[in-house]
Amino acid sequence: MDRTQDVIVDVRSPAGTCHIGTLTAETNFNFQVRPGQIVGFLEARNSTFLFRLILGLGTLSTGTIDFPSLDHLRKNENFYINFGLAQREKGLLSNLNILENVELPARYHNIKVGELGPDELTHKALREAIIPENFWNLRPDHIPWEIKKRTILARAVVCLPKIVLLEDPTNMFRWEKLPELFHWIKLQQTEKRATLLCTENIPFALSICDSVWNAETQKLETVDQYLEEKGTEWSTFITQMRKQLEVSCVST
Amino acid sequence: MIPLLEYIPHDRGQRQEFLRVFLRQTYYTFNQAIPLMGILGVFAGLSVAFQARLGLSFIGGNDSLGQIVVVVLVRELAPLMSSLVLIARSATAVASELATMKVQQEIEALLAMRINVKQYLLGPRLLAATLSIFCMAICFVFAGIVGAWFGANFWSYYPLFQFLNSISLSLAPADIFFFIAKTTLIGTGIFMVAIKSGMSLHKAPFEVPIVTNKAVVDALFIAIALQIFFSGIFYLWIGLKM
Repeated sequence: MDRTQDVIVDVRSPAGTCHIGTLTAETNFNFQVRPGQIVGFLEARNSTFLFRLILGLGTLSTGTIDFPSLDHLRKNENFYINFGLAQREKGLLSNLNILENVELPARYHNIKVGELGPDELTHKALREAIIPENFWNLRPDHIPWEIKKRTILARAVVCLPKIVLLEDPTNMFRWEKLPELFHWIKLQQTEKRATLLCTENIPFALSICDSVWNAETQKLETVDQYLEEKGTEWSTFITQMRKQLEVSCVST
Repeated sequence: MIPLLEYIPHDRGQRQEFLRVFLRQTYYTFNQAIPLMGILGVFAGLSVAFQARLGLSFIGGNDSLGQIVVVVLVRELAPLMSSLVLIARSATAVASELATMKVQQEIEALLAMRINVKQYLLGPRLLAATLSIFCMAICFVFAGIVGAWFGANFWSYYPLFQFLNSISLSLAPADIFFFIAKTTLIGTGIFMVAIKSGMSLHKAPFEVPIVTNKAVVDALFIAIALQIFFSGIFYLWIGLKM
């Protein structure tokens, strides 16, 4: 079987400009992502530009970004609803409440999956992100930062995208709540959703990701390969942290 | 020429969201302005009729009161006052709202969700402004007529029937046509300027008051220019007919 058919994102040395900046060719991003894979970028700046280019929100000057297993959907006008972006901290519409914010993309694109309509998908996304119902009817300026971040995450997956791009997912999360985030990202994996995340919280990224982008070697490495280079202390620490997150995640 | 088709939603979901934003904007722009338009209309009508009646009584031309009310209130003051209220209340709000949305990356979020900004944000606002300014002007005219009747009765009794009859006789179809054209096009022009200014912000929050200020100045200029243009066309047309 041709493995390239499984590839959901195929990135080959893209360079280009989006409205927030320019991705230069020197970063030399070269990697492939498969459904259900969690890929981490351990720096924020260039990967933020890369995410914009993946989302088609910029212009490529060189290189390519392809979506081999989504090629049959390419002609669809709404091709890019197969992508979900969770921004760093901003982006929630301030005149809508939490429920309306998450509901908006599902309603606008009239997403239906079986018997699930936009309302049901919204409730599912809100519950999966563990947003208490008493916050649903409040506007973003009346809720804690952590709930805002959860709303941003819920909105990114409400249309059931094939790929979800997370900018600094741990940002605004308290340390003791990270297992819930861990659980949420793992849930995306079980739904065969490719997850690309950029973060400067390296221990968390190494705990959850299958592969990470090594900016020094300019290669996508498995977490084990990456930890091998870092030494046994790192390995032990990350193994312990992963166990801790998994256990806490089960207990929550 | 604006490619207006870009502002029109195609699908059911898009239409529902369009309607939702349109109703919300209409509520802010028109419903909340009703008391203000009523008060302004009553005072304007009172003032116009009070002074006109005083002047007309010297030359015995009381029958011309309706004509003066139509010329001053319907043709000139209603579109002008409505556009000033629209600029002061809504154009500033829309410009600063859109600018803040850009700063808060809300526009970027909409783009990432593949929500057409023109259909979701701008189209409903433009339509709401166009209809709201027309309704605001109607409110102003009705309140103005009430005020004018009180003003006309200040010095001596002026029968209501005679007053209304005089207004209806003075009101020509051309007045109604130009009233609709003037108000709707001025409303559209004002909001287009406000939207353009709001969306012109790049990144920094300090730009929000700058673009809001620019929106007010440009919208005032557009409103007055269109007012003069339509009045000019109207009187030219009347002149050609005579």
